[in-house]
Amino acid sequence: MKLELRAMIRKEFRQVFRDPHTLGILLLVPMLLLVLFGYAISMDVDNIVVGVLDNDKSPESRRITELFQVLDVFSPGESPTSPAEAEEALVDGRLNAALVIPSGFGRDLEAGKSPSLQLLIDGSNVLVASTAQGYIDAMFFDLSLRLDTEWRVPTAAGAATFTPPIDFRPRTWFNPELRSTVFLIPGLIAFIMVITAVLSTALSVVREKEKGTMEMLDASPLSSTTLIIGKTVPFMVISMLETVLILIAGRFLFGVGIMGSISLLLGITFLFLLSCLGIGLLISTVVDTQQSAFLLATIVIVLPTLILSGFIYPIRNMPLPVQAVTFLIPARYFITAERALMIRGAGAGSIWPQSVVLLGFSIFTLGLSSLRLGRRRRKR
Amino acid sequence: MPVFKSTGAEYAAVLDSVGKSFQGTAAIKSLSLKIPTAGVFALVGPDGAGKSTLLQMLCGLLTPDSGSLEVLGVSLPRGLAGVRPQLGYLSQHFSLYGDLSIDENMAFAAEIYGLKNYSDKRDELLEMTGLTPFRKRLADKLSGGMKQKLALACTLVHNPRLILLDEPTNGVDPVSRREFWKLLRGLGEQNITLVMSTPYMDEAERADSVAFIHEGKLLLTGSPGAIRRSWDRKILEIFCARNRAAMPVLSRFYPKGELQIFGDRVHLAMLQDGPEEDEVVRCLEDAGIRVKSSGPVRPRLENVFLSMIQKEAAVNG
Repeated sequence: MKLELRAMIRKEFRQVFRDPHTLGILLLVPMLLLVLFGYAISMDVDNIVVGVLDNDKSPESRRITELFQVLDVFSPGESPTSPAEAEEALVDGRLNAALVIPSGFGRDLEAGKSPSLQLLIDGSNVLVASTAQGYIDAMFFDLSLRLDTEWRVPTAAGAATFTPPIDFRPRTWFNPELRSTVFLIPGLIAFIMVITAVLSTALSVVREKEKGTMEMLDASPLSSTTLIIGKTVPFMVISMLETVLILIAGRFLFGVGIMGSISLLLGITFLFLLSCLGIGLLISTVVDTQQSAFLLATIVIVLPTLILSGFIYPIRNMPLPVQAVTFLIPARYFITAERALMIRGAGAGSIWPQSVVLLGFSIFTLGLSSLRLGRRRRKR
Repeated sequence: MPVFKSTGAEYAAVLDSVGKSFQGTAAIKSLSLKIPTAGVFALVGPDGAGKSTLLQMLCGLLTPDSGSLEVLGVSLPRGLAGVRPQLGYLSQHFSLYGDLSIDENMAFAAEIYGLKNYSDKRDELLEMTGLTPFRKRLADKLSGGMKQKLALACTLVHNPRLILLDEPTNGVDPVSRREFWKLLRGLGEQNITLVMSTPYMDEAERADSVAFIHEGKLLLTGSPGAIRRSWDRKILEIFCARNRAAMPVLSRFYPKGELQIFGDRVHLAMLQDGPEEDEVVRCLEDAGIRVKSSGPVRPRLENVFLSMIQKEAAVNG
């Protein structure tokens, strides 16, 4: 390696480890995000509090009440004694749902009539409401079928031999429990990489401008290429190490392993990081203060990555013009490839389109920023 | 790398009708100047005169819009890459890494010039600047004078033949400034050319040659002694009770640039056909200002410079 380049890289590492701000961005932010997304921001709904207003108090109504105690997603709440009480509990948020069992429910059921049950759901939280409704729907569908057999066709075999006309057996692959962490960790890696790689590169170059050290570098025989490589290598190394750390944390803290090839995953991470470093450098050629670099990076890349990359919100649900914008976000391709590799265990064949696009992004951003940097240094 | 003869070249830099504008505003206007090899060359002028622009052109940070520029016998910007290792530039702003130690800053400064065996030179420079005891200290933790000395040491570590210093003694205390000058003088004797800008006339007096720059133009260049000798005017020094009150009276004969207050005295650049000493004194006494003493003194560079600026202003209307 050239002496000049080695000097650049060594200096950069020294500064990273001495500057509390850079170190904070590189270490604290990823840890914070990992904990936030891994533990706090879970999209899995459980602990739906259901209260039962039992006006019947028959063995049948008790059987229904007990059903809510069996399933993990529900946690039994208070039992209201009047419709007014049930309403109040919903308004206050003490209950997510209230089931009203009318008096005479058990008697009507036994008589072969179809008695009604009322379910009141708090719809202010869509996620909770739809999950609650889905579970309770399925529960009563199943119960109705069972009761049908027990009372209408009382064979000797009883409920145990009940056979529905279609034996429907859904099985969810790759993420059988549908845990959201499995879905979030790949996107989280992309998001953290964008924050650390783009921001730290942009800030480190702009800091040189702010502190006037860039002038010294410009007056030296240091070439633009050496300058760019010297600025990217340290952050590439640090970001790659961080990726490995997140992967380890994902495996041991959240049980999200890597189904596919680790080297393929690291390979595509490298390509993604290259484009992030390119974007960081490009930002640094546009602005002259750390503050504006931070702002620009947040607007053009950090927020779009959070919202438009498919990290949390599905791209196919977005309006078409917004979907078109997502094509400009490198994380979109990276996250797609990551999910294929990590969760589905896909091979190289399924991620090559993403690899090509990311390589294109890297060449474009790095090329453009070295061009701009070179022009600035030559033409003044 | 081109080989330079250590002696022979008479001038370290030659500027011929050099011009430079920023967004339509001319910073340097068709300036021609020859900077002799070896010694300290001072660019003197008020803020905004174009001194920094000139220095940045000499080290290749800026490219002239017009005219030709030759540095160490090489035409710029064409030959810049070849001559760059021979140049040292010290910016007006502190341009070192505050989060690196003295040693680390020195090592970086040397290595980006491709130097491998710089430790002897580094030790020598640290010894010369008195920084040896603080080698492990971060640059941010140094005093203003020490920072400036470190910056100079970093500028010198790659053995440049032409050193460009932009107001190097700015913000440096008088004691450190004296030491700093001793360093510069020592370098000037080693066949190294130092070009420095300064707003201070007392610094210009110590240089081997000076150039007065005003509004992007060269007013005068030469050695301080020659400039003083060539100036055909006498300076009348007047000590009087109330300097400020004396000014309006004196300005009846003399334009403002010919009159300067230096602490407790007033300097007056005498005009050839103007009033004589006794006449000036009489006028002051008539106005009720008691003159303690008066007499001719040796002109200073400052007198010459201010008078020239005055003449410029008069010509430009």
